[in-house]
Amino acid sequence: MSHHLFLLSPSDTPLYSLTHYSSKPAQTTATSPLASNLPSWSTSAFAGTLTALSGATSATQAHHAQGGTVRIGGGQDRHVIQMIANASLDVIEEIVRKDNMMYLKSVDKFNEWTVSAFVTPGNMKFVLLHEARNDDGIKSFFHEVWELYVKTMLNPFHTAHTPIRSTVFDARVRASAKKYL
Amino acid sequence: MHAAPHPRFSVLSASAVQSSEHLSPAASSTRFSLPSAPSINTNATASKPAVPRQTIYDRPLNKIRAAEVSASAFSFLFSEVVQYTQKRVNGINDLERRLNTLGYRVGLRVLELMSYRNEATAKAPKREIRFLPALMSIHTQVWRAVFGKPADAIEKSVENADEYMIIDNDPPITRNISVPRDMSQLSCSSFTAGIVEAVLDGLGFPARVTAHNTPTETLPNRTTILIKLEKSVLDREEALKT
Amino acid sequence: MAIWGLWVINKAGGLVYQRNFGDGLPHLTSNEYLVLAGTLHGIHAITARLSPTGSSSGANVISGETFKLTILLTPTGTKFVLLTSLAENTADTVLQKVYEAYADAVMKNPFHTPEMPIRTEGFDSRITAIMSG
Repeated sequence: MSHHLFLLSPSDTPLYSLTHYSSKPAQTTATSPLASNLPSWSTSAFAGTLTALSGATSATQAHHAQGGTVRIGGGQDRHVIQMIANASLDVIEEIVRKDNMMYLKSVDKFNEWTVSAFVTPGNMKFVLLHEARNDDGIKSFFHEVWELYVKTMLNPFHTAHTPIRSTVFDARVRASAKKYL
Repeated sequence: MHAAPHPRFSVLSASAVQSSEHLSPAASSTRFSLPSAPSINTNATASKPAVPRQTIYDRPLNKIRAAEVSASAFSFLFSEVVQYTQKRVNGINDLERRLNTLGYRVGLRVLELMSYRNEATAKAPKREIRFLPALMSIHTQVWRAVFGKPADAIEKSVENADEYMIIDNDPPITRNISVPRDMSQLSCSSFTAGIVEAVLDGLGFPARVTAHNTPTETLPNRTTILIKLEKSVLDREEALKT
Repeated sequence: MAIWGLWVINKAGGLVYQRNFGDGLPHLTSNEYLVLAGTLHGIHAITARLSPTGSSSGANVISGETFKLTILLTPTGTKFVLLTSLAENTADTVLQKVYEAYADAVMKNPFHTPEMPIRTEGFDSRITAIMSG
């Protein structure tokens, strides 16, 4: 069972992403590649659209490649994941205007994916794609990511639009994901 | 054997403290001492890999008393900031704009850190989404976090519905600044205006924020932070009213 | 008891601040004040060198028949000079307060250039406050 985390700047630039395979018992088959759950036309259709998008998300891809202990099936799947995360941003933006909670659980759904989000007061968005319900775990996970993000913000060399490349940050987020997801 | 750095040096990394020891004559003389004598230099370098460098991620975010900065130290720093900026601009407007930009970068961090300190212990952390409560929290929370005291007043412009003012009778950061007469338009509180602008922007209330000197007979340092909201903010407030 | 005047002399001997209180002092031109301050700077240097008992901070008080000069020397070489009546016994505490006001209103002011004449409104008002008790 996998989780996908994206940190997006107030202008929706991806600053950090993480794919986490949970060791906890999954209800669905853990290894099921996304493509098999989609209608046969969908992956190829996405592949075309998303090549265009990939320019904008190259920062996160580069991160994937070097950080890369985990990789999803193929490049296309990763694109689909990013597509879902991006698509949910509109929904999140809509809710953020009316709801004063930072933790927004299950804001969007796409096939087997549920999207939960956490929005900081500075309009930094944490988006998590997950398959199973785990509200408390996700909430605690977001809370720790929030703390780590605030600490990152305190670095004078970091701005709200700088991709987060700190290895310590990465290690802490991974540890937190392991603990809660 | 390597003593913990004096608390005053705690802002320096451990390696910086060690390198200063290399430069001091006392430390270098130990190089020529008998091998049996404990040497500060060798101990320090040997223990280095064992103690990984402490990062910001290892420190708690909560405010501690000892972490307060001396007002004098800040005054000197801010004085240098103004001098540095002044050398690189043409005219007062430019100077105020640069100070505003610097304040903006501070404000982004203030907002995130302050919210974390206020909300982290709450069961369900919240953000401000209405303008007036946000303005109130700037007046009290932000001011308290940055200056250690709330601002003195909030006013709403009578003529313009999109203008609000935060008033500080004696802004701590400009307390020691005397602006020369030929620059009397200048308000160094533009820095504060930048902080306010960043906080409003972050919360989703884009605005143009400027600082103005509004002295009175008894309060020569009185400063008004003028907030001019973008139209979208007023529209949204209108929509949320229902 | 009266305080008549305050001078601030920079480390090179230049008069950077001069103010009279009341009408006790004769009116001199700014050029004359500059010369007097330079002379005092020289005298002070001589007294600092004359000390028979090792290093000295130089003259602290110079008294005349009707008035005295009290001098406060800071570690950076700036001198604060207070012209008072002979009976005035608060000169030292006043000078200490002046030094404090100088550190706050002058040194922390980004529009002041070190070693240059002090034209800072904040300092003027602080001095006025100190002199009026």
